[in-house]
Amino acid sequence: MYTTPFYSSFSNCTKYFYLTLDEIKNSVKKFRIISIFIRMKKILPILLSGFIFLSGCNDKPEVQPTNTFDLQVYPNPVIDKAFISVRTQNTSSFTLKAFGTSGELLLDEIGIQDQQQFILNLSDKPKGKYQVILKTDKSNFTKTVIKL
Amino acid sequence: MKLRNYYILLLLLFISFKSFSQTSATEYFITVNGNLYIPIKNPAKGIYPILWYDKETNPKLLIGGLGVGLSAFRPLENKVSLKGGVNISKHTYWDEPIQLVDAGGNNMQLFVAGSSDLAVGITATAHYFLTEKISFGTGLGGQILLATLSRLAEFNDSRSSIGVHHYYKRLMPTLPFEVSFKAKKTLFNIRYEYGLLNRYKKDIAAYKKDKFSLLSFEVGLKLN
Repeated sequence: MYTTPFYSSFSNCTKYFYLTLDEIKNSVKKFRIISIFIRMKKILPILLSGFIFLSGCNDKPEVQPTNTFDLQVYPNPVIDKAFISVRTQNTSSFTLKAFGTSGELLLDEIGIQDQQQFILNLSDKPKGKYQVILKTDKSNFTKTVIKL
Repeated sequence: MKLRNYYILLLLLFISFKSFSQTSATEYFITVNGNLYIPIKNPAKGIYPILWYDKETNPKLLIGGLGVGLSAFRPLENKVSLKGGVNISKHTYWDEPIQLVDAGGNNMQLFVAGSSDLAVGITATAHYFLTEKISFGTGLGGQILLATLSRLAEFNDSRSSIGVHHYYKRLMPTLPFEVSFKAKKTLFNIRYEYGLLNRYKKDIAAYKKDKFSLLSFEVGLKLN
């Protein structure tokens, strides 16, 4: 049977639909009926209002566990000091950066060993979200830290 | 095209419209909108519904992007109108997941919160009327970010579950695309706005990318 893949992607709401030829024909018929209704200006506000309230993807993003072997920040949430553990899978160099709640740079370290520990002191910083980014030659790893 | 050239082009466009304008009355509308923030450059974020009920989330009733504003149509040439709009809106999205870790370095759970940006949106678009009531337009817009509210994980020692960060630029120029249906007393707009710059500011902008991307559904009532 002839099928047509119809691909729809909205960020985390990625779905595949497969429509048969008959289903496509039925959809076209339905669209004609809908288009007649649209021409009736009294129906249009109701259609639009319904669309406004029902539109949107309700799927909470499915979160895949990240590879914590490379970058670990603990504890999270943090009260004053966060410990950052970095392990790289080879001995290539990496840079470690931490950013404050306004996007300013708080920590800038260069590591060359395959395992290192760093301390991020947030004791005098405002509460909120902080970003820790590990940059290697192949990829970036990001962790969000909550300061309470 | 550089951003400055784009501004100059739009300015010349509006000046040229003004020179050909006719003396027709400007129509004013008060509007309400529902909006969906679409994080097309940041796959870690997700689309939050405008209004939904989900028994597995807390709170169970999910209320997403909403706003109010004013719009004005000023007829210029035969089928062309200049449309201006201003609104104050809340844009809500599922924020990036946060891995919660205990003091010993053991992973506990992933925390995903709905976060909101409160912003003033401004658009100036030139609309071409395909029929008497239906028009489409584009032009230039801007988002003035007032605040970003991020829900934090609730713990025994946290007094508030709302946190604020300031990663995003205060002013974001946008490119709006809009389809409007204008009846005698009512106005319906479907508008998409795309941010022209990276949302992140300062040092973090070199490492993280995010683009403003908003789909709005707007209903208006004529004031005059």
